[in-house]
Amino acid sequence: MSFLEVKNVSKTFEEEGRKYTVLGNISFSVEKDEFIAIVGPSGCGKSILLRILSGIDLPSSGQVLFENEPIETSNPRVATIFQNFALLPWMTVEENVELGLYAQKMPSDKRKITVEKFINIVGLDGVENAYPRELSGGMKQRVGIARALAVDPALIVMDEPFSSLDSLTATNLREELLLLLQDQSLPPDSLVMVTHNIEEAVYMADRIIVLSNPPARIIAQLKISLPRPRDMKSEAFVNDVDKVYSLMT
Amino acid sequence: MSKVIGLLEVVNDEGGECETVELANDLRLDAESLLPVTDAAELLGFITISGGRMTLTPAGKKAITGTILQRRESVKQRLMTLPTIKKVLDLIQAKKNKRLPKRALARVLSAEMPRSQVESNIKRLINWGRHSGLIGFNADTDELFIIS
Repeated sequence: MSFLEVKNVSKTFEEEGRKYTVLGNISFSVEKDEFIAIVGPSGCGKSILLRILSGIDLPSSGQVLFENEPIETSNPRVATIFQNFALLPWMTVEENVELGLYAQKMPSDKRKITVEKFINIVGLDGVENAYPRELSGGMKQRVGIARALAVDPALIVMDEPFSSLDSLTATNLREELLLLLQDQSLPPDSLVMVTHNIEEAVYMADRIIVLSNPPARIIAQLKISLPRPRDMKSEAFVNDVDKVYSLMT
Repeated sequence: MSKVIGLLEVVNDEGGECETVELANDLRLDAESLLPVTDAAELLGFITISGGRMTLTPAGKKAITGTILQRRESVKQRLMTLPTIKKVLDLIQAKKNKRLPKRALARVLSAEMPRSQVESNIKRLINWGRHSGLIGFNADTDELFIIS
């Protein structure tokens, strides 16, 4: 039994009487402690697939099994890290991190302790009472990461988490996220990241799933077994990047 | 500060030194975006720049080694050696309530630099302070404080 199983998932939209199939027949699994990157041409339905994994959206056919149970509604054991951070501007850093915990009906004293713990872990102590508008992009995404971790998710899905950051900040945040993932005492068990950045996928993931143009099908799955921390300048790294590029074109 | 740390990571990946121009090309950054970052990294003693080449210093290496908290602590220790930061810490300590109004800091700084630079310097100082867990800022009261 896999941790997460996507079985024959397809998604079709109807607009003005015409049907558009975004996702073809998608099947793959995610194992425990695995970091999956999904790459593919833009508009191929990568984000929709993530929404289906987290239960926000439902497939038109097929199903997603999470620990052997079908996902039919928003799954509280899945947290999302968004491209544009999705922070509420009228709430402080602390309140934004706390947000996900209300849904878990956590008592307020435990909520406070949890928020403080994760704010410290991502290095945001001292900024608890700041508002998102006061923060740099890098700090905003740290809030996004803290908010996702705080709900103790089994799975985190990330939709282009670094693409609205400048390249230097993105480098910093990728490194910090990998450091957090090394810590076995912290959630999550597994991650699924959608990205258009092939180097990023090869740098971070254990396995890369390559999608085709819509209706998206899986062209290939590529295991990345390079030792960590990965050296982007090494020949083996460049080879893997080339392999993914050639699969996509 | 996230950019500065990102820069250190990139220079480290290049083996600890690289040409500034090549790095700008690799990262697809123009000089206008990259130079403030390399200037800041140099000011903090994380890199040295000479003849268009950047070299990571031991302090720079330390800032990207260990856990997130250890890295943050290294940056904090480094910040505390900068004269301007020392001055701000003294100004905050000198206040009875340990809170320094931003406009009081602006007054002090405008004796040392053109008025046009004061605001951007305070902004940078707050960003560095927050990032390293050294100095905080309360936007409701417009006051700086030391993060314990």
